[in-house]
Amino acid sequence: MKFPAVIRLLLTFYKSFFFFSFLITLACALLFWEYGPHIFKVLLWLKTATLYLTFYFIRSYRQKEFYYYRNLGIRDFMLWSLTLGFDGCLFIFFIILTHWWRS
Amino acid sequence: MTHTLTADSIQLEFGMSSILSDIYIQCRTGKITGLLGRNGQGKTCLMRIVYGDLPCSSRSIRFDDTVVSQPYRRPDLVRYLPQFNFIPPSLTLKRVFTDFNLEFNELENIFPEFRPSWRSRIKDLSGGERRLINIYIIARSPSRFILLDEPFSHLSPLQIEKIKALLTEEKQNKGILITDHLYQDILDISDKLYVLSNGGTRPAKGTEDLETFGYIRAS
Repeated sequence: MKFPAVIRLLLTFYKSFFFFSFLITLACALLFWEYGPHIFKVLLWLKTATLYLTFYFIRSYRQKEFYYYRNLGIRDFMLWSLTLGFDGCLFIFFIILTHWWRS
Repeated sequence: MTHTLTADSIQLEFGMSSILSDIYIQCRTGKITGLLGRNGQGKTCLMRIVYGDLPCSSRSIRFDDTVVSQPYRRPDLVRYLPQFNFIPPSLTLKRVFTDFNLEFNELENIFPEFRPSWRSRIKDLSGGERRLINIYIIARSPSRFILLDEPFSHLSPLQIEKIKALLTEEKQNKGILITDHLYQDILDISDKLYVLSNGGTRPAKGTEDLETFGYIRAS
């Protein structure tokens, strides 16, 4: 499978939980703005916990759709690691951006 | 070129009860292999073991005598149609056909009722239409083997006839392993037949064997 097609499939999968996850990231950035760097650890745990919940719910309730990606040669591990990794990077990016604006 | 898929030495247990133990199945390019069995005999488990996404205590899945431990990572070797619809409902038909690199007009030629549906989302189709699209993309996509688990469920008799014709055409390029409870349709298109009974596969030839193995009742 060609590289752009893989990216398109990963984006489709990411879209299934992007809205919820992005809301959490924005809420974390807002809390960071309000209380400063000393709550970063708490926010990191909050983000990790919500990502785990997302993983759990999608694995439980949208399990059937994984066959779509498998039939196209995309492994479950690849789907999860790349999308959750990207989401984690987005979270760090927003926190750094907030820190930069704040100081 | 002819390819062979062989599955044997399969052991599957759930707790203390043995589900599959005496399995031998062989599929070849150009042949449709039917798999019949009563509910709970392990047909879906066997399909998933062959596909590689159901762990079991022992198995040997060979493609042209080469053992492949996780066939589901190789869509060029095998694709699997589960007994449920697996296409994400939010996708459009256009997107699905693009992902699988298939021509929509070929679908239109066989099923003209899909002509206005090019931009429709999967969730907007009827249950039968959804199933049809699921079967069609697996049947048409390039792969050496396809595994079809209950493809005929939710389809009308006319659609079943068209899918049977499609599979008969597709077997020229690939090997097909198919299971369904519409056994008469399976008998119609199968070149080779197995019955799954008491944890093992038994080669069968026709309805008499199905009666012998307790799959259908003797009239």
